[in-house]
Amino acid sequence: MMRTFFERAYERIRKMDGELFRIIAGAVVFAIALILDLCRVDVAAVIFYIISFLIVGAEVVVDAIISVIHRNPFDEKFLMSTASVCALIIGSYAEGTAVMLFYLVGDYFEKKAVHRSRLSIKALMDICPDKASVIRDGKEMTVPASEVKVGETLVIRPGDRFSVDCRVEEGESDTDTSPITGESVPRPVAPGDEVQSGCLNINGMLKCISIREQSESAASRILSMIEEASENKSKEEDFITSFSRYYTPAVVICAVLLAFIPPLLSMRGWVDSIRTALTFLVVSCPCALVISVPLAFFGGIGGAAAKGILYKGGSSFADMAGANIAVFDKTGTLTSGEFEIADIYAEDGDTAALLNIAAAAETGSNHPVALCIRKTAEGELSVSGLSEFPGKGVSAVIGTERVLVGNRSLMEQENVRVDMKIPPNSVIVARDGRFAGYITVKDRIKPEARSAIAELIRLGFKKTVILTGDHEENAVSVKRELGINELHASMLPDDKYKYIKKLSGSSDRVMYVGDGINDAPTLTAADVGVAMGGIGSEAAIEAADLVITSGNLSKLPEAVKTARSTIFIAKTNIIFALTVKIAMLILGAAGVVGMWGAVVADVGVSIVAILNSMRTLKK
Amino acid sequence: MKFKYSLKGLDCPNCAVKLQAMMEKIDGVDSAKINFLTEKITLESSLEEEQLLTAVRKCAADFSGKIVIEK
Repeated sequence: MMRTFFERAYERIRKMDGELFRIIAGAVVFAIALILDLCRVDVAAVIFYIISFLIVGAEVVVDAIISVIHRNPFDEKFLMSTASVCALIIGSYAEGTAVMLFYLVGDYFEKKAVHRSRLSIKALMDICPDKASVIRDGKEMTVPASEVKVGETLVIRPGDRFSVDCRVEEGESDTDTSPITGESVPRPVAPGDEVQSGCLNINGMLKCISIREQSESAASRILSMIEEASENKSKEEDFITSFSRYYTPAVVICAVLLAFIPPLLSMRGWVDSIRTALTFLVVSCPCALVISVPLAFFGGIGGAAAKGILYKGGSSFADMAGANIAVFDKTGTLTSGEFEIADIYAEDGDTAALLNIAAAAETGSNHPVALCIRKTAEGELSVSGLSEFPGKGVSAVIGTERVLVGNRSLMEQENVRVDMKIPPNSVIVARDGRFAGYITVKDRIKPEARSAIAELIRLGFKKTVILTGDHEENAVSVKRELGINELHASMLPDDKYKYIKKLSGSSDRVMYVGDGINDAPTLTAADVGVAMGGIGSEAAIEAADLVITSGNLSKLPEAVKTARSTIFIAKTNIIFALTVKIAMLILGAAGVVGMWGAVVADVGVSIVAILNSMRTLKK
Repeated sequence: MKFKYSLKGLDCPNCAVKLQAMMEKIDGVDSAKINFLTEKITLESSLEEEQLLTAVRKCAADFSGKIVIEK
């Protein structure tokens, strides 16, 4: 019984890492020493204090000596060692040991937090398989994913991840796109669909053609974005870095002055002065700040990335958090870029027949409007004599009728009289030289757009604007339906750029949301540029401050919230830690707080700040 | 030329900043950027790769005995 207890205890200890073991052992011995001290068994107490100090502090002191040899005097280990060893020398055994013990606790916490953040990012980055199954010379073989060339055929089995961006050639399946888009609903794919690398094939066997090499594929782009994001420092991080550069030397110099000047002027005894000085040394490390602020941003970047929101760096968080005007591109951003039929007018009242005829005539065309008409039409008619008039429309023979489908200039060219006013975005249908009706299409508004805009308003955005190259008549319904404040239509890319440039010159902070493909300069000109679904485009990534990989608008308010909470956490940490440190310096100098108070406050503030930062990871 | 290596064994981001500053003083190194959280270092240098690695490893060893830099 006893044996197994010890064995189990031994097993536990063996699995512990050295630092935790030292903390626990040191704390136990320290507790014994405190009890002895209270019972006034002084000699024994001192011995136990020193044992405890050696358990927790020996390694720190050795490291400190090494760092001094390397001419690195403001190393935190050196400062802590000096403080605790000096305390022991002047006879403050309990304080000296406590400084070391608490320092190690803080340090342990810090390491755990960093480790956890690293793990969570690693999990996020572990989306790119390094092997791929390709068919070469009619045989299937496994090759490193980096060697897959564009145009090769890949076999992707259920449970496999896509190693490169592909187009499905054969087979149907559901794919889990969450590693790239953060969307949890599986996406069905069929031949012709493109799938991004990093996605998971759930249930069907697929044959795909690779369309990008691995280094150009979505997963690689995302990885390098996340990596670079953590290098792109925020204002807060820069502040901390330059602050710590001056803070530590300044406090250490103060400590030295406090130790020597009052006794030399015979104002105070040596021991009291040194004690005050040691209190200064204890709070001289800016560790809590230096670790917790980058951790907050790192967590924010990682947490957002898990949702398919890729921030380009810490500074983008501040820009996003402060934005108060939201400007949207229309096509592809607020609308899906796919058309749907808004209205059909037929002279003879038979709208279904008109649609069928138009669909048949458009058989050969890949124009988005033609695709929409074909998708909506239900009947299939046999068609012959197809011909296309670029920029105008098509003609075809259906049965015995000659059918024209196109715009007004096609009708003029073919001498078809159109007496009606035709709404914009319509195609006119003529049968045997006579006007037969028209079909009006509209861009489909993304289903989540309305609630996303409402949420932005709720988050305090004071104005929403649409900029579009489209005609006013087409955009006005989008504006009305989504409750957007302003609309500027018929804008060329250059007009959009100028508009944003002007707006961001004012005191307002402008967020511009676009597809990132043809509005890259506009994205750059805005205070914060958001590219919707632009992970495939180098230009979009380059120009934007953040990329929403799925193009789902509901991620936009989420991105704002993540940015605000990250900035809030970083700022509270700075203010909180600075306040505590400065208070400890003042109270320490005044003799109100001793080493005990200083070390507890300092480690306490580190732990609270780190825990606060870790919250960003969870969201 | 730009080089990117893994760099492990740093204790805190503060140390990363210091080591970075030390590395930038090496002749032939134009810039050094240490990413404490992803444990990567990006160097811009006119040196040959082997030469550069030897130089930065020596610099890291001067700073602390625990740092490992690998390709």
